[in-house]
Amino acid sequence: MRVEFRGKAFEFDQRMRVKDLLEKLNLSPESTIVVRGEEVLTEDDWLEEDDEVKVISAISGGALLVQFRQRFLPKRSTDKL
Amino acid sequence: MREHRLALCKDCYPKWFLRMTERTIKEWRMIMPDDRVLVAVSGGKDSLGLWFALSQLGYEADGLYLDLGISAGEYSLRSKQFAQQLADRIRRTLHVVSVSEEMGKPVPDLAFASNREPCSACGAVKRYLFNKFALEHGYTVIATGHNLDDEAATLMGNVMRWQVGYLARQSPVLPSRDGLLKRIKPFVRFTEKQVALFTILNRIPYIEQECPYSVGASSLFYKDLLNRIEERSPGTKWAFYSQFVEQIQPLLEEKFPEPGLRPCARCGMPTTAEICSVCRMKERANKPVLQLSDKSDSQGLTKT
Ligand SMILES: [Zn+2]
Ligand SMILES: [Zn+2]
Repeated sequence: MRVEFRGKAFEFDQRMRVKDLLEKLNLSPESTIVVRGEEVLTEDDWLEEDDEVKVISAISGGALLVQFRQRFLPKRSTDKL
Repeated sequence: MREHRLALCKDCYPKWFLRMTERTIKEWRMIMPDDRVLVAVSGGKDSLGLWFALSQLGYEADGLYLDLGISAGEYSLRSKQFAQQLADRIRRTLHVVSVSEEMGKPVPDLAFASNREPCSACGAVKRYLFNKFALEHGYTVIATGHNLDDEAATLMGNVMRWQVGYLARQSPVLPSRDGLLKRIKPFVRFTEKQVALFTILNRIPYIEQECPYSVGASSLFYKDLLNRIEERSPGTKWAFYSQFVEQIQPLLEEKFPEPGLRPCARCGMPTTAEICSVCRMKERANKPVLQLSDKSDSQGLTKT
């Protein structure tokens, strides 16, 4: 699937739940919204191989937060990107 | 709240959100029948969502957009366009005030000249200009889009350093006094995500890009920490904040009363000093000597 996040495109080749995607991107579900077209998805929704989704950070200053997390915070469990 | 978010239904959610907004406004007596409301509009999801929600609830609120003069990434230009789009949609007036025109310099220059962090200088200038404009144009209430994440992060920062003076004044409603208008935060019970959802579901385009000067803002760190706690223990953020404003803030307010205000000798706006901090900033930034160093600085930056 094709994932647009902060103006960049990421490709993932297997289906997964929204929460798995957020984990791969090291994002908190508390501060992130995933949309497929017009549809707002929940953490438990499945993403299919040919889906195109957009990940929106709800936090003002979200891009900085991602850089910050990547630099200073331990990644979570099975996190590989 | 949590169940509703999981079972997200597009039709129900905005209605629930509006009901909760109305409840907050009533509970805290934020807007009285005779009030004229001015929304501080930045072009981001919170302030646009707030302006839209107020208009949906029947409040005749106008917006004020402050052009900060931040040219990086066309930040100011783009955020203003989103604000204007919403104004056209809800048929309300968007006032625009240019910081450069009011202060003689854009926000980045003011911060530089006064040796302040851009965000702190920006905050002071914004509060000042919003208050001044609202007073001069007959508004009685200033509404801002601060959400639960903003307030809980601010609270955490103030608690960590026991800033009792700030803590005593952290409230969803600040009543008017001595030339400072009443300030309200009708979105304090919503998380950042809930506000973003409301704005997105109502198809309100907003500026996602953050202010280029907010790099390293410590509130981001606290927001992230609070979200980590929230993931493990849902409801903590709201408990942390709501218990504070209900139980602790009133005690602090009594114990640490605000210092008295008097009119600034230059501009007449309320201040604790002889000359208000914004007038001081303005004077320093507009001294001829600093104009020269400003120029050489910006040229130096573009060359490298
Ligand atoms: Zn519903
Ligand atoms: Zn002054």
